[in-house]
Amino acid sequence: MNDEHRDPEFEPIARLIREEEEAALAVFRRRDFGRRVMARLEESKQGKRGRFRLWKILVPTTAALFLIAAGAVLLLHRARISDSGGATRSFISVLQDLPGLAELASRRDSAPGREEDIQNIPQSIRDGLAMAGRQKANEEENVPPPKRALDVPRLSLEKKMAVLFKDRAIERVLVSVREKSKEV
Amino acid sequence: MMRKGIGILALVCVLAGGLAAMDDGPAPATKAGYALLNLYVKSFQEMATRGSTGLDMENRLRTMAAEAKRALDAGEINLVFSSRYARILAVTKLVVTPDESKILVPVIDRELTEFLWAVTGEDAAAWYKAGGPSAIGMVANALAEEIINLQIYLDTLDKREAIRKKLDERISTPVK
Repeated sequence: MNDEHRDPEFEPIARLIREEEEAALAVFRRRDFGRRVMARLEESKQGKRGRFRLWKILVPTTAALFLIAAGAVLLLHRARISDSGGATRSFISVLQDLPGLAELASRRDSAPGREEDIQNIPQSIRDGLAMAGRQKANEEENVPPPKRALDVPRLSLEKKMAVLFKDRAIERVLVSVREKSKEV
Repeated sequence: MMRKGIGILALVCVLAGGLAAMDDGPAPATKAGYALLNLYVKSFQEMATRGSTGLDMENRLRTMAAEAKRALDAGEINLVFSSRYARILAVTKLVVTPDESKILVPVIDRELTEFLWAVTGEDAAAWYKAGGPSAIGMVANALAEEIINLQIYLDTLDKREAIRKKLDERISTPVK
C-alpha cells in the first residue's frame, strides 16, 4: 500500500480489503479454477469430436439404407411390370434358399414325423412359410394366360409415321391383297 | 465428409422420387388405345414385309376388332376412339373384300369416298378420277392419316378433359 494511505483511519479498511483478498485467493486456489476451466474446455472438445464421429457413421449408413431401399423399389417395380407374380416367386425362392428353412422343408417333406423340429421354429417364420407355400400352390394352379394380341411393341409417333407414310405399308398391303384376290 | 454425405442423401432422395414418379407409361385410360394403334401399324408392317393373303388380313382385322370391343367393354377406351378405330377396320376390310359380282360396288364406293372426304377432304370426283391403284393409294393415305389423328387424340385426351372440366367449373360458378 502507498504511504499516503497509512492513515490510522484507513488502516481497518485496508485490513478488511486484504483479508477479503486473501480469502478470495484461498478459495480460488482451493477450487483450482484454472484447471477446471481447462478440463471443461477439454470435455467440450471431446464432445464435439464424439458428435463428429457419430455423423461420420450415421451419414453413410443412412445413405446406404436409402440406396438399398431405392434398389428394392426398382426391382419390385420391374418385377411387377415384367411378371405380376415375379415378386412373390422371388420372395419364395429367397425363403427356400435360406439354409435353415430349406433343410426344414426337406425334413418336413421326407420325414413328416419330425414335428418337434418344426415346433422349434418361431411361429412367425412358420406362418411366413405356410403363406409362401399357399401362394406358390395358387400360382401353380393359375396357368398364365396366353399372350394377348395387344402385347405388341410400342411404336412412337415418328415410327408409326415412318411405317405409314415412308414405307407406305398400308397401300402396299391393300394393293397386294386386292391383286391376289383377283387372281384367285 | 458431412457435405458428401448430405450430397449422397440428396441424390438418393432424387432417385427415389424419380422411381416413385415412374409409371408404366401412358395412363390406363389411353394405354389400350395406343396398343390398338400399335397392333394395326405393326400388322401392316409385318404384312408388307412378309407378304399377306386375304385370309391373313381377315384374321388380323378380326383380332383387332375383338380387342377393340373387349377394350370398350372394359372401359379401357372411350366411344370416340372405339368408333373411329372401328371405322378404320371397316374401311380396310371394304378395300380388300372380293366382290366379283360387283353387287357391293355402290356401297363400297360410297363408304370409301365418305371416309376420304371426312379425313383428307378429298371429294368423290377425285376418287373416281384416280381409279385403280391410285384410288387405293388415296384410301391408304387417309387410313394412315386417321391412325395418326387417333394417336394425337390419345396424346391430348388428358389435356382436353382437364380444360373441359375447368370450363364446366367456370360455367357452374355464379358470377359475383
